[in-house]
Amino acid sequence: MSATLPLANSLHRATLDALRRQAPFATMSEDEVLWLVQHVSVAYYARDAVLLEPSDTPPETLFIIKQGTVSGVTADDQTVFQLATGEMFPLGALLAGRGAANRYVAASDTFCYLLPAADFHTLLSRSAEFHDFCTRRIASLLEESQRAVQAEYALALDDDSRFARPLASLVQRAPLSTLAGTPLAEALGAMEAAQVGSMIVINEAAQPVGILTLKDVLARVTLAGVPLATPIADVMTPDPATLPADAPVADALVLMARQGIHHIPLVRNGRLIGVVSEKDVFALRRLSVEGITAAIARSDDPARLPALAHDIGDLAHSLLAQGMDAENLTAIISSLNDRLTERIITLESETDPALAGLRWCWLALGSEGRMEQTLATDQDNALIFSAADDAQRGALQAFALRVNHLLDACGFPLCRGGIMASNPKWCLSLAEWQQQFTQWIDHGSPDALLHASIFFDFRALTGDAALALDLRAWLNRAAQKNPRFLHQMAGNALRNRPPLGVVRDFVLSDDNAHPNTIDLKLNGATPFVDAARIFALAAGSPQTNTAKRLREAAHALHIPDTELADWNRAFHFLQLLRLRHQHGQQRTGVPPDNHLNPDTLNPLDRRILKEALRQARKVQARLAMDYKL
Amino acid sequence: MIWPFAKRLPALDATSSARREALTRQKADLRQPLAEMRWCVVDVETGGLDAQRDPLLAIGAVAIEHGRIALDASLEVGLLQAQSTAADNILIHGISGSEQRAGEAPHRAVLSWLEFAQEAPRVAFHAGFDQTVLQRAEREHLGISVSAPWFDAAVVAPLLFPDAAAHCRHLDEWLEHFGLAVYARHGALADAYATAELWLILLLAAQQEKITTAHQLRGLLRSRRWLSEN
Repeated sequence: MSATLPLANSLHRATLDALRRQAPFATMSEDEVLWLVQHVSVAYYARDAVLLEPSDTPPETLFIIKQGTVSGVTADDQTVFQLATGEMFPLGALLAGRGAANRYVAASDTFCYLLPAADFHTLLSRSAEFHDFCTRRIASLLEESQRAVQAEYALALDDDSRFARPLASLVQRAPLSTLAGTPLAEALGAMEAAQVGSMIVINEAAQPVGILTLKDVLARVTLAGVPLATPIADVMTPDPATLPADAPVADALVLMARQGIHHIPLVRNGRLIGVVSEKDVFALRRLSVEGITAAIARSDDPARLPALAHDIGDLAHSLLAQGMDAENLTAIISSLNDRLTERIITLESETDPALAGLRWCWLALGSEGRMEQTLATDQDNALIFSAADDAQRGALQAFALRVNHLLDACGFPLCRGGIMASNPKWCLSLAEWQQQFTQWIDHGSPDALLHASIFFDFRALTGDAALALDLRAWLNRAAQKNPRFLHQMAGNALRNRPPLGVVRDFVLSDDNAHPNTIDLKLNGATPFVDAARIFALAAGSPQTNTAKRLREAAHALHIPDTELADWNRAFHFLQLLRLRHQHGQQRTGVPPDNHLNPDTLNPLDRRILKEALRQARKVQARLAMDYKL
Repeated sequence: MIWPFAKRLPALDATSSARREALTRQKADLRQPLAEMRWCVVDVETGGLDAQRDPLLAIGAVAIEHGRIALDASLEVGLLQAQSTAADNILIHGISGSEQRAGEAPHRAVLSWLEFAQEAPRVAFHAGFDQTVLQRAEREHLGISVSAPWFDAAVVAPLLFPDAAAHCRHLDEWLEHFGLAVYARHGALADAYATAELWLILLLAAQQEKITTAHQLRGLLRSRRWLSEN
């Protein structure tokens, strides 16, 4: 306990404990939180009371919600967000020293802790954690969530039989061991010769009594200047954590994660029989991107491809468990699905004499076109060709139909809307595609806007990519020439509001099929995707990936880097939630979807979800500003 | 207002005596706006339910200033009990010295209480009990009588929320009614703080009923008492 604490009475203590249940107070030192406690006062606001009005002068206090809910309301009376227990406002205005932009109204009877602005700034300079949290709010929440997810997955290995096998099965060679008196020179020489990262020190009964790893050598031997004649016992880690040889692999994973160690000696009847390293455990994830890519390339039989598609799903699960971020993960899923689709197309087109001499290109649309596929994804594809007579056109459609069915067999269901290359409407020549796009751009009907959102994200998958590139170049010019169309697209995109609630935190679906849920795709990810598409079209960018589109647009639109980073983090958090949700469903045999009940999230993820949806509103606000909507 | 109670005040050490001298003799202005009023919300812990006899063990108090509970300046003081210092008593009750919350000599504890409260009107739940206990302690340990206005949240609450009054009698019930959480029930400071949160709600409700000063509130309470007693 620190020196200042005896001054704290039971009320200070209790307030401290309550605050420390929330980020960022949970990670701040006790002294810092206590300082905060001793500088706040508590105020009560009945429902509908105004806590803070928009103003030209910087706010005088930071509000931390003790109990209750507070709404942020715009000048035109729109409730744009809701804050709950533990949340703080108005952070942006306090940090920037400007007036609050929104009106803050108590949505229910509310108690708040009030911290004077001067004390807020003192706390910022006293506490690195608090500073970090306030300035990189979504980033620090995400880091915390990511750690929680990894821990959760490391423990939830029940579905994975690979982690149930005994550790002994991982041992590939006799362990490298030595006695306590061995000089370092000899022990390190043996490690070098055997090319292993650890030396186990044993006693006469072959029981492990210590361990020395290469990492230890740097600090304890080299930097410490310990002579190499020193016995290894002097620098080893004594009493290392061991596991029985027949313990399951999962135990090693958990032990390594908990203790932050990379090597575990295995014992049988107390005697050393082997060593497992972190590398051994992770190598067990037999599925690798390279492995699956090679297997797809080798596969000559379409009947074997569904099994590989299944492996892609398993790999995605495993990468998700290892804590891979959504941007990389969706890119990996998309690129493996690309390889698989390419292989199917190659197998089907090579054996089809009717296609000989034709120039065509398979187009990936929608999320695949954007390289943002999740685990639940149906087909969105199309075909473009240079010129063809009716017979050739028929042959292309027949070929596309075979590909569509094989993809279906691989777990990519046929598109319910018929957006597939086998559909005569979407198997067109370059000239016909130009006509089709022109019609959408000129009409701007709801139907046209819907199609635009799918087709404008096309990407050449396989075949003659020049056809797709020509179409893209033409389309960018056509779209830029027609600001009315972009304006309509923007208006359409803004109709899809992120579901932040007025009464509760979130607006839940009233759809009977998915009660009490929010649609993470439609209401979460889509606002980002839609805005990014419009930014890209306006800038004439050929990019189809949302994060990349936003990065390019940010430069052109002078959006600050920090804001851009928050947008992308928010978008990828929503994608990650979708992946985790779908993974959970697949584990329990439920067909994956995007309908999440926010009550199933832990409080931290709920808050990040709210923050992510708030970022979606910011992106939309930017769009509204650009298009004066 | 502070009046010497006895002709000869109890002999105090020099510091305490000076503190007693310095106690404010101002009278609270009950006609200032409710929202501006400084309130002192208090709760006592005693050795039993007899306000006239049972020993005062601890005082917890928080101040409401400008409509906000100030956390920094909250009072939590225990009174050193003469009998509990005896070693045999500790053995019987099994309370070790370190667990004795009774940190201060009674006269110093009561001085701390009066210095904290100043002339502010006192608020408590079932205030009659706290008032009796505290005034007795002021008399016994300092030989003075302090006449500050007392307000009873247990009387004000049913007046402003008659619908809830049917099922709310105890502090716990009112807290539950308003969804207020208490961190450690039945500690003097915890209860004083909970009462203070309740008082914030009551103050706001009073203002909505066009009661704008403590004076008006007291008038209303008096007329109600007269109505119920006659």
